[in-house]
Amino acid sequence: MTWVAWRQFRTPALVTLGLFVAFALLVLLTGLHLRDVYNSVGGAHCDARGGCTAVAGHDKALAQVLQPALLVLPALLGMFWGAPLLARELESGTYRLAWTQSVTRRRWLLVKVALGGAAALAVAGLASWLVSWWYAPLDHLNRISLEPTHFSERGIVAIGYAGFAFALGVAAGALLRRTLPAMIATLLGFVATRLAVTYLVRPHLLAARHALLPLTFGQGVGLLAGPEGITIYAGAPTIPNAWVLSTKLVDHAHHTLGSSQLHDLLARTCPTIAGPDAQYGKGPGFGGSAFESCLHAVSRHVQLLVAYQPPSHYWPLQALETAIFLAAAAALIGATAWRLGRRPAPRPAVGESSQRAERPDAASEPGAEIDAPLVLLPDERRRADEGS
Amino acid sequence: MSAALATRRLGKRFGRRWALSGCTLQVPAGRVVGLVGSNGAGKTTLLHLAVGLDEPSEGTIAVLGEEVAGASSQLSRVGFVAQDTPLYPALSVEDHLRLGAALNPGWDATLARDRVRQLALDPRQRAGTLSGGQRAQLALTLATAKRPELLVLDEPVASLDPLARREFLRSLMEFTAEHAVSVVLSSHLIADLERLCDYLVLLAEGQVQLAGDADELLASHRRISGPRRDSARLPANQQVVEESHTERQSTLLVRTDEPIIDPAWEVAEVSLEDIVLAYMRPDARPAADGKAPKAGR
Repeated sequence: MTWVAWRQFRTPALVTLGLFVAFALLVLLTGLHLRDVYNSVGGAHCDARGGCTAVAGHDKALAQVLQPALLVLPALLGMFWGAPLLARELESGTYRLAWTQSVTRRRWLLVKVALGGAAALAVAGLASWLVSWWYAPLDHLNRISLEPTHFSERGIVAIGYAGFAFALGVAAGALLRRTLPAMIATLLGFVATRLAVTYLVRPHLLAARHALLPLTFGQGVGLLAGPEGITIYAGAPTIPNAWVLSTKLVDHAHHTLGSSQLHDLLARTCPTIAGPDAQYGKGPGFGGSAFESCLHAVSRHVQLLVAYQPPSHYWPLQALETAIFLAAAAALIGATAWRLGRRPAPRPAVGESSQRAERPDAASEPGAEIDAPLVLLPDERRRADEGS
Repeated sequence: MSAALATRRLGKRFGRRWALSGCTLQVPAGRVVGLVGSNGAGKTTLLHLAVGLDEPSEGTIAVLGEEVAGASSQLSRVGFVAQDTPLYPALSVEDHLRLGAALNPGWDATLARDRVRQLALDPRQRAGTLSGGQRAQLALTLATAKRPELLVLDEPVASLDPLARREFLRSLMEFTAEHAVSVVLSSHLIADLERLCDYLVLLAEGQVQLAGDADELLASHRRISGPRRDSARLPANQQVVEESHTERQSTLLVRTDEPIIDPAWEVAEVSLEDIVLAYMRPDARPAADGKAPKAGR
């Protein structure tokens, strides 16, 4: 069976290998050059105005290609390796050849999945390692490793994504029995799952840290004209290599301050800026120094409460998310293998076969039985205890 | 010796449609069984159930004395040539033989090699570029080199030209002559079956209409014609399968195990094709050993 699995997988595997070698050469050569530039400006001690910009601007076009490359790679593996694995056999009818040899369907599926799945994991792991290596100098300067866009395209999570996309493709192929619809379903399902996990699951995988920060001029703090009048607005503060999940303006008792409370406070503390006569964006109170001193006065009453994932959560989060996707992949493969395998035939109760008055004329669709579903029998749930 | 194929109240439903229902059948081993029926009669469904590609919605099916369960030991005892003889188009003839060898413990490499040489197939040629006849022959090679005890073929010659059809059937006959093997072969070409098969099963609308030894069927059916007469007034041991009446004359196809002695009748022998066509008519009465009542019509 191993030879058969390899023979059928050989062409896509060699095509992918060719593309991958080209990709690896490109990444290695440009990555080495990027390191030269990085070292020539003093590495992490680069001059923020001149040297660092040279690194950041280096190979900007390639940087913009590499980032999404790791985003789409798992989806491609799922679409081109996973989806056809079963769908093509079902679509072209060759399952009738494959499944009537002396190997059980489950074994046939599991060997093929093991080979394709292992290759998908390896490709994703290597690609992710290459991209992470390429970006290392830039990441060192940018210090945003836990930001969703960076987190998903570095480290080991791509391995989990690839395994999941591959398994999703296999399962979609078994369900839809056609290659193209299975590929489309794989793409949509994968993108939806990725988005859902990134924004709904990942923030809660580990308990977020909280920090109280003073309002600081120049740290994303500004004024906002709202329906209640002029209030303070606080953007996300910069915490190196952390992922800021939410920010709130609170008083010293840690109570959240609403915009009307903030307006009242601001009007009391800095009447020139937010008093009854002040207009947003106009008047003497809006000068830089006036605003700064106002902020200083307000910060005695207001603080910024930040919920964030700290840099120390980077690898635990990577491992958790990888494990979640790989577990989902295993579940998908398990479900597909279970549905594909044979279950013992249901034995009719005596006289049961006479209650089929709804049976339509069996001869109404010539040849239709050939295309009828063979794998998925929703009314038959019993498991087979099949031999080796 | 256990039956090559035995079903009991076998039914298969696709959605709301019953492709096969109430099918009870015993096919003896060591025979070449022809499975006939019009398109959509349930032939493919029955064969898919027999080789384990499909699972019954009700009833049971056993091949070679063992209930079909998709186990490896059972799969290795049954060879299958599916309709339109599916092969992997990108794989060469040689690859297909390697595939067969890798997937079947009882693979007969000598038989496979000899067959390919005999057919003058280029081992390096891709299956996708083979002619229809060559594809069918390669599919038959795969199924036979597995050395099955039961060989199941689903319309193997339906899409072949007459010459390729004859070659294919000759290959099949050679194999059955050399090896002790039971064969179930479906076709809607009755002439092919007449030469090849010694047992006949007729399906119509998902049910067994007729099943029996070919010679017995031939011996027990007669076409009788004579002056017009009501078929209900025939002796009890003469079962009317088909009747047609003109103003003055009646022509009947009857099944009987006893000689027809009424001097008013002109009695003629019938061919297997005549019998099959008579039973295929929608108003025909089933006669699967006289035991399969037709349900729900």
